[in-house]
Amino acid sequence: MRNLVQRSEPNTSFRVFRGMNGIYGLFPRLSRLALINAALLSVGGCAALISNAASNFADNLGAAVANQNDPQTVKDGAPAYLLLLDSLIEGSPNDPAMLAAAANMYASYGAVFADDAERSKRLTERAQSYGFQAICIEFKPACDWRNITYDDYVATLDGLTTRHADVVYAYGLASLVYIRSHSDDFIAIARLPHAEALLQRYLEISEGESDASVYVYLGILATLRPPAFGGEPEKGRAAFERAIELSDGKDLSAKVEFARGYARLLYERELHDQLLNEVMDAETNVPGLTLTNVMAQQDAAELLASADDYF
Amino acid sequence: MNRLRLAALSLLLTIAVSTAGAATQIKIATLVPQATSWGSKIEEGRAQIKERTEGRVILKVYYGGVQGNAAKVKQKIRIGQLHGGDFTPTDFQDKLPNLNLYGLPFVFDSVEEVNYVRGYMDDMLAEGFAEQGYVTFGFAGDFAIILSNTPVRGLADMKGRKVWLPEGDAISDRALKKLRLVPNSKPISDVMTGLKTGLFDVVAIPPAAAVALQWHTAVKYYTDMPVIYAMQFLAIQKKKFDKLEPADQEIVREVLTRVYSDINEQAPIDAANAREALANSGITSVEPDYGEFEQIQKVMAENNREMAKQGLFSLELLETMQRHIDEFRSGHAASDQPTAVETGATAADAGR
Repeated sequence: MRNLVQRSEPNTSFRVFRGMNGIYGLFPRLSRLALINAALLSVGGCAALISNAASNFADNLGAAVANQNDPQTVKDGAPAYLLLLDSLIEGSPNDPAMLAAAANMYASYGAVFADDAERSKRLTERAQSYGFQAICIEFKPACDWRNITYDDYVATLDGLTTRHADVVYAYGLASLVYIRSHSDDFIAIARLPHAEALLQRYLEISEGESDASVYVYLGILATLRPPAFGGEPEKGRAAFERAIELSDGKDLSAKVEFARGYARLLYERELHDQLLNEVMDAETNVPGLTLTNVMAQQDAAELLASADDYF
Repeated sequence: MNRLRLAALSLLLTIAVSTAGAATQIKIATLVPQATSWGSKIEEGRAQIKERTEGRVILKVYYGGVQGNAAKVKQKIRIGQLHGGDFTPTDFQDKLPNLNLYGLPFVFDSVEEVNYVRGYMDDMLAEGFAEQGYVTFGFAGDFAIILSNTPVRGLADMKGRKVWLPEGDAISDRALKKLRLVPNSKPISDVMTGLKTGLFDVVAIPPAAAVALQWHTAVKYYTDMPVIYAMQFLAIQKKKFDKLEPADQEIVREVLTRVYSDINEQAPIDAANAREALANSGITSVEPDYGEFEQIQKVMAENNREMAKQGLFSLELLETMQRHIDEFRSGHAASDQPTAVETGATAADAGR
């Protein structure tokens, strides 16, 4: 989704220390492209919120968005659904399914479509708030997550089971996009390992649903740091490859993120170009992935165009 | 006439082609990943240099340590594969030992103090680069604080603990041994695992770096003492730099100096925000025993003089630095001090 909005370079000010006498910045590179799948899921998720009579409509809406080849149409249409979700939550403030769906929708729109940094911050803050309320209702230990150490937090994750998968996904995604849009704030950045651990746990309890997009997120997270700083790009590579495998190579965003995250980090030009050329040559019109793939091709073209300059 | 015009056009084209072909590529290596705030600032500078020199100077940057560590980068500079890199004083310990002065342990009390001293001394420290065949563009620095898995109020709490020593840092090695601590030297890539497995109990690092490296997930305490002033700088081979047209040299110098100045200004603001992040992450802030740290400062001052007398760096410059520190502490700061890092002091004020 990077191309729907003005391309903005990441702006986080992670600072990294080299030796006793070195410092520099490092920030999360959570691509908007990687988030588009979440946008589609969240629209589909509306089905759970609306009465049976309307559920067919919601399902069809989700499919229509996923199969849309004009991202601007989706961008223009989505805010109405944000308000719809807000109004539904007004009526049922303790409904975790509704809160989770709203978290997904706000997270996706805030990260993917909001074309202003401050607006993105506001929308993703609401996403995180909805996500947190949802998981706190469904899983009581989560209510204390913001006040405990990382080790204590990780220890609670074992208590999550398959029935929590939806709220885990919603809060995990909302946390990631919150961090991304607040990437000039170390308090937000400090929560990145928490979000990563939660997504890892999601894979264990998800029974396969949405796994491909979660593998892409984990791939991005694993390629944030180069090996010289303890980063594990090979772990990232494995995650990207798994995402490609799970979608049978049809989700083109996984290949774009693989090129952007791994191949660029390690200056592997051949792999970079190969992945992106595959994306350029691929059919975008895949049921459920058309919008994602259209965006992926746009990103791939940009990455290929800047490759000579980069490598 | 037409032939003449054609010849003139041809000449113009030739000139245009030769000008286009005359672009000088300066290849530099850095450990910084491109997708970072620091990387973004370098990229902005790179674009400005290209635009302002109308493509005559191209800064080619290899990010993320892909060209190897500092020793390897220096080797590649010697054989012409690279023309520069970002370094720490440790990387120039043999040739420019005075760069270590700011990074001597427990010398400074605050960002304001170090900025005051830097206002007088940055130029002196940078002087030696030309002799070594390098051009530099200013320093960027930040204080390391103590992170640990047992509370560290003072020296006694560190006795018998496993203390991380950054690989190749001879000055800190001497300091830790003087304090009768046992340093364990490892590269930074091993520290996170080391903290989790008990290989290290105590580390020193700027708080923003700690959060970025996610070390806050592997420690329980932090002690907000300015242990060491950690500094970094960009150095480009002078031989290569001198080949640029004087006007282009000026542009490159101006742009890169601003990049490092911006990074330096942002450091204390980030540090304050990162300390808050540490506290928010459930890491306990430990109140230092200031009396004990004063003792450490005294021992370190003695040790620093010993190292200077042994030729590890200039005794004269050490004394100059100490004089400026004393001036600052006594509140008799000279009103006509240079202003190179004044903005840094302002940033520090805002951040603290």
